[in-house]
Amino acid sequence: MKVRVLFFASLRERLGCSEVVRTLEAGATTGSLVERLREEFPDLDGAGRFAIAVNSDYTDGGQALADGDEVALIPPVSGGQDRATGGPEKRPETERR
Amino acid sequence: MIRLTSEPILLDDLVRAAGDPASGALVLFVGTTRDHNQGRQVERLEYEAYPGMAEREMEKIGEEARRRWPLQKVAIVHRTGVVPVGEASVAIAVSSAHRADAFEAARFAIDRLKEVVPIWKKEFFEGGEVWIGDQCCGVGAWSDAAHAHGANHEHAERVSASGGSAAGRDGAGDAHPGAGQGARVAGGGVGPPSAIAPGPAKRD
Repeated sequence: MKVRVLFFASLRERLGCSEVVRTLEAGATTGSLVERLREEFPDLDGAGRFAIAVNSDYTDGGQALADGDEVALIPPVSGGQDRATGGPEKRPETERR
Repeated sequence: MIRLTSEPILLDDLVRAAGDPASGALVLFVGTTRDHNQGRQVERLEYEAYPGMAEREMEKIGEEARRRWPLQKVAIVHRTGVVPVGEASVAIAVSSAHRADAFEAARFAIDRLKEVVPIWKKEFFEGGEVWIGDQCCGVGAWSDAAHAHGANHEHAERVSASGGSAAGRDGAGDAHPGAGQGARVAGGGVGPPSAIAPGPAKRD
C-alpha cells in the first residue's frame, strides 16, 4: 500500500521536504511508519515531539494504515508559547528518544 | 463561518456571520501580531496551516462550544501567510442570548484553537526567526500539557539566527524531564489538561 506523508512547519524545514510517498507492507501502523521515517530521516531525532494525524484526524502510534492514507506529522501548534491551558484530549505525540 | 484566508481578516464579516436576532450579546475576539515577544522586536509573523484539517478542527471547536454553552452562532477565521504587526491573524465571533456565555465560549474557542488546530506561527524578529510553540526545552510543550514551564530548568530556545535549523541541536531535550517527571513537577501548580475552561453546564 502507498501512503502520503506530510511534514509541516519546523519539521518541514528540518527535513528539507514537505511530503513523501512511501510504499508500506500490509499491517503497517503509524508507529511502524514513524520508525521507518526515523531511519530514513536521521534529523527526525531531535526534532522534538510531534503529533500524528491520519486523514486529518489526530491519532496515536497504533493506528493501522490503509492504502491511500494521508499521514501528517504535526509539530507543536502555534499556541505553545501562550500558556495553553491544556493539551489535546488525545495525546498522540510521539516522544523522541 | 469557519475558514482560513490568506487575505486580511474582515471583522465585519464575522460580526455579520455570528449575528442572530435571538442573541443579546456578541463577543468578538481578535488576535493580532504584537511588535514584541520575549524581549525581541517582532517584525512580522508568518502562519502556515494544514488545510482541510485546520478547518475541521476549527469546526469541532465551534461544535464543542455550542454543546457547552447556549450559543446562537460561532464564526472563526484564521489568516495564513505573512501577518504584519498590528494586523489580525485570527478572529472569533460568538453570539448568545446573554453576554456571560458569549465571553466564556469565546475564551474557550481561542484557547482551544491554539492547542489543537494545526496552524504554525513563525516569528521574524530583528536578527532571526523562530517557530513559536516549538522552542520550549527542545520538545513540544503543546503536547506535554503537564510540563511545568521554568520549574527547574532553563529554556533553551531553538532560535535560528540564520534561518537554518542548526540551532535545533542544542541538546536542550536532554535536560527535559520525562513525561512522568513532568507530571510530578506539575503537581506543584500547573493544572492538568482538564483545567481548560471547564465551562458551565448548559443552563436548563
